[in-house]
Amino acid sequence: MCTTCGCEQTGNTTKYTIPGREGGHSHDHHHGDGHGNDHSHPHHNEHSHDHGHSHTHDHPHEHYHSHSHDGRGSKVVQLEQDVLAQNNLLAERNRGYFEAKNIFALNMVSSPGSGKTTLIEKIITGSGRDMKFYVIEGDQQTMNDARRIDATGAPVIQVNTGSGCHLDAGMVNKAVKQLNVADNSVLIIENVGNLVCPSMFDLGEGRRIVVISVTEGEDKPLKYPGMFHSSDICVINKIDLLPHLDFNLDKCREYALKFNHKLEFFTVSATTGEGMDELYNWIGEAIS
Amino acid sequence: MHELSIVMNILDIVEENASKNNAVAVHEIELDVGELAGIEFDALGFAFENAEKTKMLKDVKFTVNRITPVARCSNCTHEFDTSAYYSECPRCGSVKTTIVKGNELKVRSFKMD
Repeated sequence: MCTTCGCEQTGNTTKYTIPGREGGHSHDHHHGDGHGNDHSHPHHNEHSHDHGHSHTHDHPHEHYHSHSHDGRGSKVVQLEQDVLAQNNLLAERNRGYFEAKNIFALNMVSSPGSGKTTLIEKIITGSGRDMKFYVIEGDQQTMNDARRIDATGAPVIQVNTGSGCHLDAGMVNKAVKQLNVADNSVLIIENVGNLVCPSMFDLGEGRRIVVISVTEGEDKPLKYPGMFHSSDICVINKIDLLPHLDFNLDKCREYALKFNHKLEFFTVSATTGEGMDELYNWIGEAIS
Repeated sequence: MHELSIVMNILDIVEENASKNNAVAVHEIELDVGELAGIEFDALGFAFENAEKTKMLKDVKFTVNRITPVARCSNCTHEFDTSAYYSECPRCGSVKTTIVKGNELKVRSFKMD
């Protein structure tokens, strides 16, 4: 159920909110019902919303038979269409937009709790360089991460995916339009904390960064190869905790390289700042 | 967990193309899904059963052609069946292998009236 307008629907609900503008009401309803109306409800011919308007949808009432009576038989339509074609097309549109404006877009993926948000805060506040940062925060619920980024002064938009387990190119496309990203800037997209599903969805990013923290165990790449296979950069975070843990950095790198021999590594502690200079340099070079 | 949104995409694709073909009903959707496409086959089946469907698609059945991944060795060009992103070449033992098949996620065809 949509928490803003209270309307019932079974598809995904995505909400876009900029901190300080929480009163706005902007979300999509994806029903896959074939008629492109943001407030379409296939099962209800008439309904009203909490925010004080009602409307009626006309539905065709022809009786469709699921089988043929006239002996013609069914027709087979060959399609050969990639299911993710629509996402990939939108991702390429995003990518073209980013390239034209020299926006360095990073898609940051990891399991929940690896320290993505802290890492982003550190990148924004700690680099000491004259770089402009914009952030898209993806979470199923809450504005918490957007508020943290907002406190750093960087423009941010929170995308709440509701039941969705990943961001897709369409969400990024909508979020970027609301965020008004300036030319020659860095756009950091913090994906929903999930090491599985986001690997399938190209957002149009310039680089995909998988973050793993040393508290997670060095065999994460073996357990979730898809994400390491599809990423360009691997940031190993929380290395300040290494003395307290039985975590083998070399083994972790070795496992990750098995699935992707082009993967580049940064070992950092976003909390203490250790190793962050290399990361700042890398970002700085990418947009210069 | 993303299988439901994948299924919604599939239903949209079929609905759109079935409408173009003036369909009144779609009976069957045939999918090609690679074992490395990032799809859990059981979850896909569950999502299909439970996804909200339009009138045109309400009785649709689906069949999945499960595609075994194939890797090619960069060292000796040998191609071999595999089940993982990482596999050693069975002929020369090299680990420089690349997946060339098994990432597919396609609507191959649908049957309509």
